[in-house]
Amino acid sequence: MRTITVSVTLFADLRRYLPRGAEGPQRYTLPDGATLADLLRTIGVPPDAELTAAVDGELAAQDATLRDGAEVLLLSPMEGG
Amino acid sequence: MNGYWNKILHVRLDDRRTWIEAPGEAFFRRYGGGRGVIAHYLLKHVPKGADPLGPDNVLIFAPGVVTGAPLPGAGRHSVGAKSPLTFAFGESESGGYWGAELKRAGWDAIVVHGASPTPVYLWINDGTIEVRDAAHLWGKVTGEVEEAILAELGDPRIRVAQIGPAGERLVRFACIANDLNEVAGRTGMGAVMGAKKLKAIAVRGHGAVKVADQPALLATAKWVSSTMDEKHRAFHEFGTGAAMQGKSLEGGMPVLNYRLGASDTVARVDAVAVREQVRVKMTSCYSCSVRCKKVVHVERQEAAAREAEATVYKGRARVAVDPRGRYRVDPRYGGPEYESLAALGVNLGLDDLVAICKSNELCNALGMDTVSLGATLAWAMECFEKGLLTSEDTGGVPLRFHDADGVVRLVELIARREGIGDLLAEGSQQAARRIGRGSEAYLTTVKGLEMAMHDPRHMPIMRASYLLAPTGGDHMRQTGNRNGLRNQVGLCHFLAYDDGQALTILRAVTGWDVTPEELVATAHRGLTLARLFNLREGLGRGDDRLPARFSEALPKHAGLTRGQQEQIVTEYYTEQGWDPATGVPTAETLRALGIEEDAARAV
Repeated sequence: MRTITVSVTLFADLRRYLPRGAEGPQRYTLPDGATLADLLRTIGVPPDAELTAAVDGELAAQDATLRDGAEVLLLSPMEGG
Repeated sequence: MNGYWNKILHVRLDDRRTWIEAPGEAFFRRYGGGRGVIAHYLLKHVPKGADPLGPDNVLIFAPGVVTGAPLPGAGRHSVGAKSPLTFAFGESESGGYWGAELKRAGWDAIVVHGASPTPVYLWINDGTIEVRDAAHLWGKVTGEVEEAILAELGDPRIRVAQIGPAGERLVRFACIANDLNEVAGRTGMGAVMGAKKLKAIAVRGHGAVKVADQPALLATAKWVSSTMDEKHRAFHEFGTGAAMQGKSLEGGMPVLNYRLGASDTVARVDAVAVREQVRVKMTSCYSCSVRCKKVVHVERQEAAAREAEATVYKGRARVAVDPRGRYRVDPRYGGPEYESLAALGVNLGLDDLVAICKSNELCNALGMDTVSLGATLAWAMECFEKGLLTSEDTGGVPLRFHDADGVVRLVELIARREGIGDLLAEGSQQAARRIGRGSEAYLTTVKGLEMAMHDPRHMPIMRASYLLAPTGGDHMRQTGNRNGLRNQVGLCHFLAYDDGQALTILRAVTGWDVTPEELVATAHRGLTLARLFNLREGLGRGDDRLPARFSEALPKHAGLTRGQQEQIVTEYYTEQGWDPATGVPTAETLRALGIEEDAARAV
């Protein structure tokens, strides 16, 4: 089976899904044709988590197909201050 | 009595007379604290049409009944007066330790009347009150003043709320700083304090706030502390400002006076960048487990940074060096919150984190609200860009976006009202009125208060807040009963308590058998009193409106039409039991809230 590898950066409280002790962007390997939703499942982020996802610098929906080498940012909305 | 002392301190500065009011349990149960208490006293003591910077205005410091209880989030207090920015209900909330210390000293609120002919400060040592001379403190920045007061009163545990030189010079968006790094920033409360020639209020309390049900309170405190990873990790790790890249990606980041919605340099100045580049530690407010307050430290030179690392931080933190050797950023003044990173940074087209931190530090030292200051600069820069403000107007000082060092210089000019700083110290709306030339079109104010850094075109949840907050362009959604209530009982918005837990906390602290309905009524009462004050001062439906800028579309978000805004306003009036056309609270609402007596003063 062909696979793709994507780089994922988690921001703010989504960082709790980082592997223990990990810092910075993480690489995940997924089956070719995997979507953003597949990636979130692999990371362990619940499907209803409030987050903003960007793939290669653009906002992306959960059904967006990921390309090999894609850079994914996962951010949680916060306010105040 | 639990949660409150039944002691409100009144101080008249003209003749230095002080007296104590004991309004009784029903008062505290009715108003809670914060906005409710402030609106009550504004209606009672401020004559209609009073000059906000004249002796008839009163300045109220009001924690809530929960403030000072041993519980994360219980470090809040509000400051209120008629605002010199909006000429209407003025109020601002702050965290830190000062409010809790005031409660521990045995006081539920302070009402300051009149004005002193010479600079003074107030010293509250438990039940002993002293009005002291402050001529030697006048003109000094907040850090120097705190040091001087602690030294002359001989107790390092004294907490100080104070104005900086900007408040003394009546900068209309001057703030009141407490504990140096916390501020009641919004609506110009520092200018009111400056007009009263009240430099500071120093407080030391040796008591403890009495709590009716310690085990219940402790259980809630333990629960919230145990949710760090699940609910508070972002605040704990970064404080505010960790989601700026998301805001920008969604097209809702204020950029170049709210024109663009996105910037590709946001990642250079967000809370993640702060943590990686300039932050030395996080601190907390009173009794809080979250510790969301950033502390930044920058030195001009390598040697000073390494020395601070070795001596101050004992090797536990890395001290940044300004790569261009321009600025030292003093860690005593904390670090920038999201609002400051946006208002002093991204919205001015800046990606120079050290300069932004310097502007933030100067605002805390000189005593100014970073939001109003930043937004006033953004307005002025757009006017300059469009030729509505010229070099002739500014005395040759350029007002340009993307000019980080220029902003740092302007912060000082405004605080001291020097040159163009004198015009900008009026706030953007007053300044626009003064220069005219169509400059009003670029304002981002509601009721005269510069809107915070959350674009209502992008965030529907902010629309009612900006349109209808009694203070004007406020983003804290105080218009809702949930946030409105937290303000009044003295509980931080950032803690993950749900409404049921807020009720549990209030019951545990006070021992009152409060129902959820009574709690909602308390928030509703505070908002209705503030509305009554504004109506009395001549505000009405026409003031519940966003500035023209927000009718314009952003690249990713449509503008907000007048029709959309009117609908939100009518729905809110109806929900609040106010006349759906005029927003005047109905007789039935006043009766249901038990505020007919307050309302009679609004006529």
